[in-house]
Amino acid sequence: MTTSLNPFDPDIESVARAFAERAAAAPDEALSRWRADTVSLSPVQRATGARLAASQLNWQAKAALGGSSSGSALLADWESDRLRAPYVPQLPLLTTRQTYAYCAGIVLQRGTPGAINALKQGRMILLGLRRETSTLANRGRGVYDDHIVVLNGGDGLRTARVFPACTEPGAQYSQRAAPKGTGRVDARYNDVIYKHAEGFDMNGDGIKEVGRLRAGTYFFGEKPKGHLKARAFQATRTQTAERDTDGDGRFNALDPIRIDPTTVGTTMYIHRGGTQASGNTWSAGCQTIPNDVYPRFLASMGQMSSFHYVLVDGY
Amino acid sequence: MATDHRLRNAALLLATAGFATLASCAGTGDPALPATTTAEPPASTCSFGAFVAETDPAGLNVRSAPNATAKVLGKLPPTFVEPSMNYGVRVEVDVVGARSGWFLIRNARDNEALTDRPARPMFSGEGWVSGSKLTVKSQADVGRARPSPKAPVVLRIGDNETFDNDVVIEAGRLADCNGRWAQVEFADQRFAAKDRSSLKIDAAARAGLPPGRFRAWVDRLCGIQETSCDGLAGGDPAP
Repeated sequence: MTTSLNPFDPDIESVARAFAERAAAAPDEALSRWRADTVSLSPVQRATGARLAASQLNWQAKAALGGSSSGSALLADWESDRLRAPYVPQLPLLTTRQTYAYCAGIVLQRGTPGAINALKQGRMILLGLRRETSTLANRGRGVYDDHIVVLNGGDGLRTARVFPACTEPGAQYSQRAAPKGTGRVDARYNDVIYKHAEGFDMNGDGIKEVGRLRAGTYFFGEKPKGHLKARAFQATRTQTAERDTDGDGRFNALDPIRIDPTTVGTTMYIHRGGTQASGNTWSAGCQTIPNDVYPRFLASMGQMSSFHYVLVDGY
Repeated sequence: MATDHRLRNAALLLATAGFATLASCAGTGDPALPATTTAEPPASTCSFGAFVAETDPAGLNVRSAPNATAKVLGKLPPTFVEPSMNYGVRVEVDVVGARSGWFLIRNARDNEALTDRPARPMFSGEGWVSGSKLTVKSQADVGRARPSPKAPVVLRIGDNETFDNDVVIEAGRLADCNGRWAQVEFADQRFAAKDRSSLKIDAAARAGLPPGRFRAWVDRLCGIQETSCDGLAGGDPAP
């Protein structure tokens, strides 16, 4: 017998819960039912279900599933999913239930135990979903192509408010874009509308490299006395950055010493950025939300002044 | 209220016309132009960004020497405030030296990202302005007695709060500078009562100053208004 799923808005959390509850006692039945329940789901929904189910498996369930080749394969597939960047769908196009399930699955799979506990206890948390974007995009002024989601599981609400965001710095803050002679410090930055040089010189080449917040979980508190006459949020413990040491606009394996755990301090804030119409995100590494939707973002957080922020690199 | 805005806007227009006139003499708005020669060298040299805290529609005079009677080289426009915005955008400058409470600045510019309109004409060469018209944004969480990370702490803002919030930026004025450090002077009266209560001021910060004033040295100076600066916790860049 399979769960009757609404084809337009399937209750993926229930499917995952049912699997986890049966896996220890009846692994073959659980696997059979899982396959039947998920066959009609989209790849994103199936991945969401897998994340939710995996987070609920206890050691007895894992041992029972590991007793069969199909169960082992499923567990291996789910485990390897943790190591891959997740696909980030257009969240505003999903239903509230799908959005909450997707985001909760990501937090349960990639958050720290503290963030996971907060989610399970119904405390509000924030999820940042980053799509890799070159610092050189939009002439170095950043792109609002990421999401910051306010997840609220309290009182059975299970809401997920999605906001456009920028989680990576724009090259307008890169020393490579600074004028030099008749050109720039780095010719690859000729198109960038230069603003100011920020960052830290990681590799000793004499050029400060811009940094982005490294994916992970950070605990934020409200920044006292505001930033640009609005509420803003600051990490309570030292953050870790990745720096673009080769200046190609990306933060990846081509930057072998990109991890910077010391020079950022707690300076990568969550604050408002330029409006979407202005085309300037104001991010030199901070997590910025467009000024025109920032009041709604603050309203969705209510009076909450501290929270876990789980940042994930997706695509 | 609307009349106030109209009057102020008219005053700003007139003032802006004045800046343009002076600017045409001083080579305004082109950072590639050579710096203006100033008569007197600074007593201390430094290198950081600061903001012009000027509300007078007539703007701030930039002078050829560190005193109020020296020749006016040009003007800097006042803080930009539009009625629909609830914050002011200050002109940004690079500070390169100080003498007797005056600061040698250059490369003044508008923050177009924040004003969302074309830059106003202004004097962008090198010249002196009073420290009482300059403020800084420090991401430090303590103020010290001397410009050294080993100097005693004489000022804290609340519990582990950094100095880069709206209240502290508004309340501070430049008193001196040294390298990447700025000495900032505060007045008690510039803090609202609720903010004043969170200040932890050592007696050394008030020594030798008129009642109600205190000073501290801060580093981790961030020269941009719209966002924070990362990498400052690492000190100077690697050689």
